[in-house]
Amino acid sequence: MAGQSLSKPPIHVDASYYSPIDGGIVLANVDEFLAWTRANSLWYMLFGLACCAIELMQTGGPRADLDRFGAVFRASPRQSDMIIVAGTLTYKMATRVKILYDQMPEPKYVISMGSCSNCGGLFDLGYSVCKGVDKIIPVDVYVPGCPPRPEALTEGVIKLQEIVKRDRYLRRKVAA
Amino acid sequence: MSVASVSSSGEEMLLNMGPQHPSTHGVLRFILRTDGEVISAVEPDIGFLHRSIEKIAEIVTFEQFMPYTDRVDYLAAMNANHAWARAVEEIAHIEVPRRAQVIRVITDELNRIISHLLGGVGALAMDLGAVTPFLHAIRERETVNDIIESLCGARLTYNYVRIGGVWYDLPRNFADRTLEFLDHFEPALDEFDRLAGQNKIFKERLAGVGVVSAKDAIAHGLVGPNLRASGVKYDLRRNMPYSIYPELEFDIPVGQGILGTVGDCYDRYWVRIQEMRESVKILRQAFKMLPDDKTIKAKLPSVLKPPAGEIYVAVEAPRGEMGWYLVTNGGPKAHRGRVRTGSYAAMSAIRFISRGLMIADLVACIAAFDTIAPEVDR
Amino acid sequence: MTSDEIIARLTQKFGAEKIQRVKPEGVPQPVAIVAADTLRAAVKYLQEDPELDCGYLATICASDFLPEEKKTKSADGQEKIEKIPGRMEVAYHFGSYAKNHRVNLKVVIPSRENPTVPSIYSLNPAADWFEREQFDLLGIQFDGHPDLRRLLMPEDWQGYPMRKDYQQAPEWRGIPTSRENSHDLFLKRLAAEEAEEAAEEKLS
Repeated sequence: MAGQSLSKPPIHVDASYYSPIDGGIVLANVDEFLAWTRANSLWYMLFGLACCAIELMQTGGPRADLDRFGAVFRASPRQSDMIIVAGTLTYKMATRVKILYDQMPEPKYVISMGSCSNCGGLFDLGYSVCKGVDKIIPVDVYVPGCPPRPEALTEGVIKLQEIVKRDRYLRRKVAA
Repeated sequence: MSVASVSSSGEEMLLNMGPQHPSTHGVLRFILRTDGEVISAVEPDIGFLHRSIEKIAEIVTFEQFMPYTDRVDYLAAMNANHAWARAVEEIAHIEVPRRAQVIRVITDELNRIISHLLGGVGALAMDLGAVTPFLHAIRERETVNDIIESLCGARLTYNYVRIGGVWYDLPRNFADRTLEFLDHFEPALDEFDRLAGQNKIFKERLAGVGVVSAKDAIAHGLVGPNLRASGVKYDLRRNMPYSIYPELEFDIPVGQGILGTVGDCYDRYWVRIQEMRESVKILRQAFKMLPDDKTIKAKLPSVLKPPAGEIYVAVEAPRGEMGWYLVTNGGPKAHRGRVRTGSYAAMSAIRFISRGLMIADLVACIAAFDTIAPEVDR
Repeated sequence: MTSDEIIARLTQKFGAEKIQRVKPEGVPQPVAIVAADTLRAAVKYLQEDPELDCGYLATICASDFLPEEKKTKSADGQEKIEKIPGRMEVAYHFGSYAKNHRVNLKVVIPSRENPTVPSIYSLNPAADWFEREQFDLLGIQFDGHPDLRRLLMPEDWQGYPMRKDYQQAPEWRGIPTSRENSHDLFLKRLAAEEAEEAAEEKLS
């Protein structure tokens, strides 16, 4: 409403959520502003391979909702910011992971979810299992568990958000 | 609608439905040869989730192998555990106490309900484009996840059944919570059926698509709800009973061609909905059969060494017959274990069923067969 | 019919040298060992006979047995070492829906070099992928299968993984096939630090 002082909240809200903005101007770093927008809109590529994929789906489901972090699933690598590798990686699939990772546009992040993609996990004794997805692509966050609970994956996404907020995108040198 | 005659004008196109796709059935790859939108040949390329589980059966002992059986079919982990436990118990002549048998049936049927919810009907709806029924199904599944978590601590891969019995006894309020859930679930299932199954688009996309006759189903080795939808009345719980199933009263739903032909995709959907209703009936009866004697595990020697020989034992998992062909050599580890799963045969049968279908019909067919990647690749 | 009765019918039809019933002590199910040349005829008989009607093939499971030496004590207390040569076995499990019975069949291949078994693909289309998988994992050739190639492993995989003497190559297309244990890495680092401290102490 015009003319009303903004030092008093117009509706009753909890004090910790109310932040006064004097005169409607916000001062920030361009890097920080970009990082804040990017961290709250991380679109992940559905790369569910095995049992962790079900927990990934249930994390996106009604109870532990990943959508409230701005993270929706995309099927295509061209439209996603991050890839959550959920499940066991076999050698036959490893070549495809590399192709999909290369197709993602920069800046891109990787969360490795579950023991199997962290280090081979339970199937360490097997002959056809790649012992960890970090042999193929660089990983930012490792989420342990077999399968990790939705709360654990949510914490992994929050940690990734902190990494994204610290990322100085405009000054980042991308490998050619 | 399936197109019976394939027109051969124009060139054929080779299309790859790659291992990464927005479907819940896991990493499966199909190489399609199509003439426009109509498919002339499909070849499934499998092995993207081959985790060498059968080789690991030769490396670890019988008790240590139980967590691996969870991962053979993670949506029905209790049934998979039960299959391995039954195989070892048969060849080693171990008798399971009565309370453990009733608990195993209770967890099996609970698992059947949630497996059909997510994989059988929920994923089918999502693959056809309807995301809301899938979320309804997951909401029901979350309640059961909580109930099973109070029992064994895990939401997905339980590792609960042991050779000779089960791991923990039922918690104090398990029966009350489950019966409360069942009272809530029956009307919720009717609501789900009205939302998805009575929807005009759903019906038109599934009726008459991918018809499998009874003779073809037996020849290609289809089992479970896929077989029953084609008209063959065979269920391991009734025909080769195990555990306490002879004392329970339940029906075996068989496909009746509600929307035209027997053995189409709508029949497969309908059979799964009916099976969930039968599981609710079984659960109500099983809770009344819990004995007072609290032993839940037979006493086993510290190193289990069954006699040398071979045996084939199967249970009725939600995706069909899950059987272990177990070869032992008198030592503490299996010599060779081969698990026979229902989705393997379904994937192999897709090649013959999908001639003349359109690409969207193929997606409906794969979803209606309820295939899951680790069962195919192991 | 029980499995024993089915095996008795098979023995009656094909003769006792071709069909042999085996039931080791303590094992609940018998197995019929079928000679390789009568396999197709026996399967055809199982499928077409109206009382047997076994049209459902549940599984084909092949196993590998390495040559071993068994120590036995002969009658006068002398220890003898018996050499058992290696072999491969291919087991089939057939069943019938209408008659509700099951039977196990087995073919024993006496050598582990170039094992061959007739294929039953033309009799039962479900055998297609079962046989391809056993070829992929164990290297058994199925005579008469139209398209025998690898199913589960990548096409350029070397070796047959389920054999008992399989050794894994150290890398595949550039991806290393083993992973260093983090505990081993820690011990290495500890050893390096201790060596450094010992060298410093020597200097001082």
